[in-house]
Amino acid sequence: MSKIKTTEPSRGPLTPASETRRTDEAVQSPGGPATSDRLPIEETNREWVSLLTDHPSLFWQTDLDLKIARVAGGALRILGISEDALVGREVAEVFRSGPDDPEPDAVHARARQGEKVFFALKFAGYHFRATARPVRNQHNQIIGVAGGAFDITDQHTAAKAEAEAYEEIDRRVSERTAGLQLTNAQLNSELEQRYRAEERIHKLQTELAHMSRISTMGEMATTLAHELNQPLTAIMNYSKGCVRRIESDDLPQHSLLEAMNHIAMQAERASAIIRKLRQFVRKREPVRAPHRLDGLVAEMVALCQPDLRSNGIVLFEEVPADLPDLMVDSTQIQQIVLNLIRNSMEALQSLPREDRRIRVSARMREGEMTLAVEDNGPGIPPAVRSQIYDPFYSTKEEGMGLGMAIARTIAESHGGRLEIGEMTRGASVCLVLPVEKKDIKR
Amino acid sequence: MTQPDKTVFIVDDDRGILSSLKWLLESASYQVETFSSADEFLTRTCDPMPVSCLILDVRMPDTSGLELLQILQSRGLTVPAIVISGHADVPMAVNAMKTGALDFLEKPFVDQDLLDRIEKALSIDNVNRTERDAREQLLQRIAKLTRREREVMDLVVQGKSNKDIAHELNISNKTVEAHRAKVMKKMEADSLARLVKSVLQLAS
Repeated sequence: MSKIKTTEPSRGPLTPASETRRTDEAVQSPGGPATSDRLPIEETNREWVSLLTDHPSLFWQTDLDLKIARVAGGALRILGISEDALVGREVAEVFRSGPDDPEPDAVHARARQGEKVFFALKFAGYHFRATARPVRNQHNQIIGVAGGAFDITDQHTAAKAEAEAYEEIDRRVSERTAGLQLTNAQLNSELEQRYRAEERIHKLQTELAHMSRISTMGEMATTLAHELNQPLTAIMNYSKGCVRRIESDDLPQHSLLEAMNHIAMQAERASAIIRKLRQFVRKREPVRAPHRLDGLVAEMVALCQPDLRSNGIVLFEEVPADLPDLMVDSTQIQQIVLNLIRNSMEALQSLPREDRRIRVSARMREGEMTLAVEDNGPGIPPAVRSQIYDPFYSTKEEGMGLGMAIARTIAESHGGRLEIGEMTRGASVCLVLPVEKKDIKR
Repeated sequence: MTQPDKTVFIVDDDRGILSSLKWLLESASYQVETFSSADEFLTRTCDPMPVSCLILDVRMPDTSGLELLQILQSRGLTVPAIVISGHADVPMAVNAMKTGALDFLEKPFVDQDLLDRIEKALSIDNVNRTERDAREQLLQRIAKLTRREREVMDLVVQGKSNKDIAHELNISNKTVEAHRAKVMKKMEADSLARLVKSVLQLAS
């Protein structure tokens, strides 16, 4: 359609010059050699008319009211339309325009103003490329509009087919795009579901780890009560000592000061125990941050110290201070450390007090951090070893049996693992954690 | 008013407990000596032992409170002991009493409870000490007797008459009387009844 509009005017089949020339040729060719005598005007007209009626074209002339005064052209014959059917009708009735083209009457109106206009029109359902121009009398006054049109239906059809082909391609592309979008959306929703499932698992693991910590604390309750009772007893003793002295009027200020300071220190000791406990038991989302392993281990050893002491266990802490930092959740890693130490403590019950030993050591090995908890107890029997990670499997009476299962989950969620080592005497469990290159400071 | 003759020994591995107990007990005018382990207490040379009692923590590294108690008994040292514990349970209390503890207290305790028990322990120690002293004295007196005097005393305590004793030992009545007078003097008994009581006490 647009092609019609861009058609160059010079290619127009009916320019006045060519009309004239063709007329000349038409006049000359049948008549053999050119003579000075012209054919009579009647003859010329007839030739002209027959030419026009052979050609699939349409020619018309209108009056100033843009009513068709005269019409000719092969198109009429081909389409089987009589001249009479058209003469006297307005161009707006006879001709139609394409959806993007100017209305035929507007085009004719422009021609009536003296303009020569190229345009596209539809006639009887066919497509034509047309020209319209003013018709003048001998006084050069415009008396109407003349128009000529050339059938381009074939071209138009080809263009239309091409456009349709493009449309079809567009349609298929958009169909396929829509299909892809759908697949993509499905994929996204699947990913979303998977993400949610992982979130849920993650949340459950956090909850389970929390439960296990509470359970561990429950197992350690006696020890912890003892730990708290110590400072509380001391506080009571100091204060009662003060009361008695005041009652018997025997309390120099410096002694009072000293006692009060002791009381404050013991209260601080009690609150530090509670603080540490709450930190450890607190339920929260794991947060990874750089931590020093020696610090993490030291805190857990301190937590076990009362139990270690009362069981006569000597614990060797061999975690160098210059190891690279670990990107870990401190509580979770401490949970593993506590678990392993407590397992060792349990294993040592069968040994005489003076022989009980635990070693907690750490070193870098092949780019990984290895924290080993070893004891000189009876070792882990093969029967236990195969079940050690089973949830709710416990050798302890009070144990929930989640310690090792959770320890392994935590290790794995940190990209690490637990290794049960072979020892000639005693047990060795290693926590192996990856060390990210950027974390290596020294 | 301190009681220099009454000493409380405290053995606990917790310095806070040690120092605070010392502060409390000193406010009740006791002499206090503190030890942070059983071994430290065992190496203390205390001769002569003052009137004293012992406060022991159950949970201690190396040697526990109850183990210390057993060691003391095996050495014949019968100082009344009060066992204290931060996490008391019935078996532990029973075990402590069986081992010979005078009493068992759970931390934290009311000061008066501890002071009452200390007072009781000290008085027991005092009685024990008196008895032990009396016995010691008696043994020393008996040691001064000659073999013949000892024989005479034994028969006297059995309720035999001078005549029977003379007959049994194949000596004269006069000689029996002379021995008997020596025995009464050496044993510092002013009556036959007192003598009999002393000797029977020793035998028990």
